[in-house]
Amino acid sequence: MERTISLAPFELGLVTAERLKGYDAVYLGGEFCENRLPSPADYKRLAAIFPGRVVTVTSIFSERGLGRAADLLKKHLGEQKDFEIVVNDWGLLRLLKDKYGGKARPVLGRLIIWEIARMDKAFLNSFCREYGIKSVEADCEPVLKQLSGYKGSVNYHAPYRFRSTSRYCPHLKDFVSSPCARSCGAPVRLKNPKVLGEDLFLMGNAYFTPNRPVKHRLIRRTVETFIREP
Amino acid sequence: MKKADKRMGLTVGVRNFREAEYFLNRGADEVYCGIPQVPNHGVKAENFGSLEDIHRTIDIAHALKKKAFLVANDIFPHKDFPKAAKTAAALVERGIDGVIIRDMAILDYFRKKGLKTHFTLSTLALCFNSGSLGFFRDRGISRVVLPQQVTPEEAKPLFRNRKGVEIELFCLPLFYETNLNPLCSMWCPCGQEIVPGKAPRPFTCQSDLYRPDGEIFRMPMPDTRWLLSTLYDLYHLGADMMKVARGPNIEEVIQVFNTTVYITKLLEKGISKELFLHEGARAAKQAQNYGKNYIFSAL
Repeated sequence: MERTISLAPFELGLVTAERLKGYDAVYLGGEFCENRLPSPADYKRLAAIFPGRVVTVTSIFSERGLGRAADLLKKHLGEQKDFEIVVNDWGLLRLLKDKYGGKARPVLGRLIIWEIARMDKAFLNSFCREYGIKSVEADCEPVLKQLSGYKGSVNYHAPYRFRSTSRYCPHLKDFVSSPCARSCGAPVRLKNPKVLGEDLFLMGNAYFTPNRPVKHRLIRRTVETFIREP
Repeated sequence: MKKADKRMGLTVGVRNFREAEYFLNRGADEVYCGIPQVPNHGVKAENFGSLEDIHRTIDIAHALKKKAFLVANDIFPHKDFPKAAKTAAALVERGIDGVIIRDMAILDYFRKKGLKTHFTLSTLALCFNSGSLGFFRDRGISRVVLPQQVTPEEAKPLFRNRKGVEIELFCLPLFYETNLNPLCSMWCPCGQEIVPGKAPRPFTCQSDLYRPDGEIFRMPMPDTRWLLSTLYDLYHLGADMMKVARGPNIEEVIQVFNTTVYITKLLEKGISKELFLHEGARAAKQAQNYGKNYIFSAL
């Protein structure tokens, strides 16, 4: 079982080489906000504290965000032999296939998999072959159940399960394609027993509930969310 | 601001022939209909009761030189594919003008089975950039329902690079969802079946939540002025259709429809943005400003 940890670029200043010891890879970027797409400087900062593999994490994109992701691909696919990238945008998936077919290792992210895991498995397996996808991301039992019949492997996120997201950022009070000061900071715990069955955590522009690591025959990797203290 | 070159059409979700007749005679250019044999994203009360009712809807739409569509905007279990394809093929044969889909697997299946028709991509499929639009166009989509959470600046390249794909909008000041609907698994009435007379559980995204410091947190969304301004800009970018969604509460759907017709007429007059924001805000105040009311009522 591979052990990985997920970091947003602005969290790089909060982790040390010691904290990252024992992980096989680091996820760098963000699945929900395009402002978390790593810059070349972010990869350099990470390389200074972590010598292992990096998995680039991407979100749904506006046109401008997709352009930035295209620039990132151009740079990394020229330099890196094994470029693994978590994809949550259909446009990015198309770009990877049409322009870089076979050079990158796309992984279907939690947003796309929420949509596609329920689809017919013959279709899903053929779709994954067509786009060179060998693994997908998940964070809850219902999605694992839906993936029954899927022929690839699953990377499982814990200790938080994704519940919802908005492109209108609660911190920025504007859309995520607007200039961002990365003011989202630490998770915010939200309660209301009349509406919520359990506490909800606001992290960036997405909402989560706690989950636990599980055992499942498809899971080959765990992805731990790095939590910055409030 | 000059008038747009092309008139924007109006499409309305209906639950039975009476509703179809009502809206087609009052300004709707298209109606769309769901049926239980073909899974779709809606509560049971939003579906037609019989195929015969859909046939009558097709007939009245065509008699008025308008259109009727079948909605199949959900993810399908494989066991439903043959029945859904058979039903859709029979309705296409009978004259239905297109199918609204979300599931790429069923789209592939329909096409493999030789179903040739107009395919609309549901807003649930999340298309936020021209690359995504190209992805779906490659798979046979002719129209995309633009997600609500797109700014005019973000939408410009989508309109510019649409290459023949039609773009449909929601009337944003009247129908807007706080979070990305297809990716949301929090509690809300959308996932519940309607029990007549019983209020469904509230929208999480519209409820007060409490932070550890005791402050109230509400999931934010843009204000009505922003939504009107965005609608104005998207219209002038060249949107083809405006949509009024189905709902179990017909009084509410009629109110949203009437306000949408009024707002569309304001846009078609070619009035200035300032005037549109002023008059649009007055009109929108009379209608819902969020989601749907799930208390059942019939026409």
